[in-house]
Amino acid sequence: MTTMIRSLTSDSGQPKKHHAVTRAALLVVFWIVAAVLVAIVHQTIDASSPVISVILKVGAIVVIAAAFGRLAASEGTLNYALFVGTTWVLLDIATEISMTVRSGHQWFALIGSPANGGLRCVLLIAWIIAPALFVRRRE
Amino acid sequence: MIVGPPRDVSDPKIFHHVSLIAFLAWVGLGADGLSSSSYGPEEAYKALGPHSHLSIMLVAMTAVTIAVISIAYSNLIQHFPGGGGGYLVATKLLGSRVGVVSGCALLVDYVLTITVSIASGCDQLWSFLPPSVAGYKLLTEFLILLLLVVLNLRGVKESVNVLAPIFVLFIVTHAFAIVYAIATHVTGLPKVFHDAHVDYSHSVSTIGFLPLMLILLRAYSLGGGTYTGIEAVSNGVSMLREPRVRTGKRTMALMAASLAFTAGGIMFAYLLTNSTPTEGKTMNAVLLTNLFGHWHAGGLSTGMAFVVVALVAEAALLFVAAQTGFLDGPRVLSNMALDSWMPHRFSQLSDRLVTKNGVYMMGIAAAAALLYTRGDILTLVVMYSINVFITFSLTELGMARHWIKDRAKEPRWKSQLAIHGTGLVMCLSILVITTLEKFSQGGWVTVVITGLLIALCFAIRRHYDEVRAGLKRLDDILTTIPLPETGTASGPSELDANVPTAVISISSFSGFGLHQILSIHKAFPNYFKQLVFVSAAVVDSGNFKGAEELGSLQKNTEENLLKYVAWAQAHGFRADYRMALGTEAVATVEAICLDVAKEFPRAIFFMGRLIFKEEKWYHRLLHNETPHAIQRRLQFEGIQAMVLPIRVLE
Repeated sequence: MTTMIRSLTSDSGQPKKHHAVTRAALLVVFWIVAAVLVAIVHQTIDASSPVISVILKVGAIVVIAAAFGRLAASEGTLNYALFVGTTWVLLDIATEISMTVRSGHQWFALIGSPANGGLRCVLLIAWIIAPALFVRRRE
Repeated sequence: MIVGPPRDVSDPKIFHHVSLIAFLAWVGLGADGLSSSSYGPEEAYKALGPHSHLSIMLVAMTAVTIAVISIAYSNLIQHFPGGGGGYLVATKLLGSRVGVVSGCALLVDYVLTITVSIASGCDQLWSFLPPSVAGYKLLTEFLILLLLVVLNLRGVKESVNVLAPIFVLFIVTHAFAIVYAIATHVTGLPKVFHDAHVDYSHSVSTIGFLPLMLILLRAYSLGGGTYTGIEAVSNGVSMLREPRVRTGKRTMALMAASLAFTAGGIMFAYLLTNSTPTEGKTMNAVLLTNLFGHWHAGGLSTGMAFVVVALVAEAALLFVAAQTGFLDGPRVLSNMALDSWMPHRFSQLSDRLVTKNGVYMMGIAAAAALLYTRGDILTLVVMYSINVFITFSLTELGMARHWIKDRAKEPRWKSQLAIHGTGLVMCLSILVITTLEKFSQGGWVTVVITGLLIALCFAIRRHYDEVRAGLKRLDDILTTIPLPETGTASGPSELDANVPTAVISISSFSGFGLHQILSIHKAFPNYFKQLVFVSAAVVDSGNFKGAEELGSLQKNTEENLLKYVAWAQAHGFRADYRMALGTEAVATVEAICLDVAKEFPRAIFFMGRLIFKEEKWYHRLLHNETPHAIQRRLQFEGIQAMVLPIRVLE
């Protein structure tokens, strides 16, 4: 028989199966580490030089995202990376709101003050995009 | 990890696995309708102004309207069990041109479903946050939109399963709030009705009966957002579990009952608790605070905790409702793409079995709407209502026309006509009043955008028709060439793996494919002695309906290939074919070609591409760049691949 009919299934390697709770926990843990580093940079340097502060914050975010990509999401796709980045920003916002409500004054350590719109944009983009920089698997 | 591995389209269980049962359909599709109770009743109640006593009549009118529209759409499910909603109904019953109007209105409607739901959801959340954090609201709305895009690229059922607990929490908290509001005011109900009657008489004597009725009608129309989402079930019938009609009707009944109770109950509760609009808070937040704000237990403010839980559930349900835009918007885009009103690329499924291009399009459009309105719910609801009621009105008109035309054949035509006629009057009146009343406050935007989209659809269709006419001329020339008299060989030939082989990628049997064979023969005279025809049976949104449809797709693809084989053999070539089933033409053809390349080491691969006399920028958008994409991939694998120009005759 010289004809062939075949159906396609993915022939790329199946990603490792991670429990949903484990994945969520890893996502949050790495975010906490990144957020703590960013907050420390904000406390120590932001007042004297907002630009250097943002550069260091972006650096911290990228390093943690690299670690996350290597250790917790080595089989992740671009979609997953965007999901992680977006979730990290939402966690940032929730944290800033909570700190603002608790302390009674504005707290912008994680994504920056609206008064510096440009620097804030840079930080937001860094949080969202950083995990995607270390994606290895094609869709 | 969050998206998951690709699905096997030939697995007969895949359709069952991805389709929805009534409860999950109620969650995934009915959430849009039910979540309307978060913003619809509020707009209607606010529009009454000082005449809040009229809300009693408004409650009754709302419940009746929901019932009429739901019954009408339930009939629609019966009549159109394949789904398709407003676009399909208007196309089949009123003609393709009217169908385009309905389809475009639906598309804008679904974009606004996403935007309104996310904006309203964030409004609910920010109702219990201090004003100092108001600056985060718009940013959060964009991020939630991005999250939903990522989630929807995975597929339907998984998203609905995650969101089902949220739906249940909403139902429980709001049902409790409504019942509690009525129960705690039950002894005061006679006084409420009495006061309403006194207020009504006073209003009639001061401003007159007619002006008072106009205020009522205006409020009724401005509460049109309440009814948005009812059509979602009939639109999404194709994704329901079999028997689809029964599942669809059950889902519709669940949705109608829950919406009538929630919307009507909330509005009545506003009156009972004397809830008034407050800056920075939604009416539902004010209502819940009035009802439970004073609850304390053991020194803890349990009442405010309940308010927060209820508002979080409301916000979460609204985010669920945004799903409907992502579920049904790409579906409408696909249906219109299959009819050539939209670029054909929107009919393609990704390997995640969703219309990926449609999801991206809906996400981008929703982001633009959010940016334009800055998340202002009032403007959004006005724009939303106008488009929804264009579709409703055209659907009702189509069904009414159908029952009049078929009255000789259908014994139930009178009752059906009464239902759809009543629905038509209601929908048209809401549409007209909302458009006139709010034209300068956002209404004009939706009218302009929908109009532009309609114009674009006609331009796209005209282009595809011109191309089709050009290809038909090619077909007329090439497919009618008489075949030489040769000893007919039936079936594919035995091929020699060691001779030069031309592998030709084709779709249907047409002049396009035959032109490729002739071009190869012209460019390489007497070089190729044998041909292999390859084809991808592409599963798109039009044929991904079940195992039977997939079987037909495979059979049709094979028949086309056998025609090419017979044609080639009649012209002295040895010929065979290969085919495969897949969701993306490029990936499927690439996989076949890689296998063929191993089988025939001296093969050269050919694809055809349409060439226009003048290449315009939109040709790339409207015509698949499939041949070049296949060529790129094959060349990357070290395989010789050529793209043959096929002229579009004018």
